[in-house]
Amino acid sequence: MKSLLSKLFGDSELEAVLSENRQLRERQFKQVEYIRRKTNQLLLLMGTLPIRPEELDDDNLLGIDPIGTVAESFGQILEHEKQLNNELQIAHDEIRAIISSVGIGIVVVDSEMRIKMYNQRVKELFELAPEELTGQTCCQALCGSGQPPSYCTFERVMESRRTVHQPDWQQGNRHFDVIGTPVKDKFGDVTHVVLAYNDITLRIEYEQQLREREKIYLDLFENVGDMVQCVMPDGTFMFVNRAWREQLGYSADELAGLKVWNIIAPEHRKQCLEIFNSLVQGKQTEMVSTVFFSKDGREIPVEGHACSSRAQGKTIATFGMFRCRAVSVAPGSEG
Amino acid sequence: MPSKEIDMRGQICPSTLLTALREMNANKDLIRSGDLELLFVTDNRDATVTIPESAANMGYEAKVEKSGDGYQIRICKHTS
Repeated sequence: MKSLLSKLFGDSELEAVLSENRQLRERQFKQVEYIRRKTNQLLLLMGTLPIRPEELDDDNLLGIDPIGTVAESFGQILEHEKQLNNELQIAHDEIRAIISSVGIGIVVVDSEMRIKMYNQRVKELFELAPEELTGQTCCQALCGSGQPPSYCTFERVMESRRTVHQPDWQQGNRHFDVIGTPVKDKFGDVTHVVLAYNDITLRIEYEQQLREREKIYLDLFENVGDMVQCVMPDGTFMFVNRAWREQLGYSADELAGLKVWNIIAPEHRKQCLEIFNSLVQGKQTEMVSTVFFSKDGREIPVEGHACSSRAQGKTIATFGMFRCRAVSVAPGSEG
Repeated sequence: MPSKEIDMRGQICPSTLLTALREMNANKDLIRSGDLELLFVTDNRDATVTIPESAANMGYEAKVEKSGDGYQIRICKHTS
């Protein structure tokens, strides 16, 4: 064939055509290799395997246009990512708005304790200067110390990887109810901690005042000469004073197993139970006159007043104050 | 909802993924509007991972079910 072509076109012209063909084949090979390489690169990005030469020959590779297919798919992926970014931005703005509008101080710190986000309420609660808190550690910014406090909510969240509630954290003369909540990545590692500070200083002060007042009243009732009793709706004793214990002979420890009808003389129990039930139902009573029954079996005639203490429409306790009507009678002494 | 079935039995990766991508590209408007779902029938186990992953990246919902000797991969509009 070559000799025939040589005779027709001459050696030099044939050589030139062959050389041109060789160059064209090399160029096509390089182009196909390039397409194959780029196709495989895109397929790897899509998370699949590269194309095997036996699966797609060069002609089919050009024919089915894998680069065009994957590129169009990337267009859809980018469109989806754009939509997701918009949704994330909206969610981010919503979270910002929620954090800004709540009445509690919120600080978001990373796993190195550095503040990443906070709301204005934090600055008000901790009376901080207007300078930026982002980047400072929370112990620098809030505790005013280079070291975390001995009972640090952040450290407990990082250790336990769970939500931690510290009901009374004292900083200076203020009291805070602190909740630390971990934010975890897909591997379960804590990347951020959200710290929520609720100022409970006033509540603590009110509770303290309440305890002091309660103690004053308890001291008062404990020391009066009349018998004082505070009875729950189920008949158990919440409080009795010294005069009551001395007259009836029960110690404070014995009260736990005692019900109010145990200290009423048997023939007066029915009448007393009716009075007790009407008190529990919130009704008022007149002067109560009955007979108590002491631990050693003595009958002690008493008279006094009883009332009920109610909250949210329910009786929480009944309260009675009695004094002896006459000298108690020992069992069997009447002959 | 109308469903278009594409039988890819006998194909292996990446050919299965390329076929699936071509179908998802060609029918993207109908899938996104919820007017069409694609049902790929395959006997290639790798495809049950690569196709749903790619579909999810493109914002579609993908469900894989065992069917006889192979699998059915359903691609539809994301509902949640």
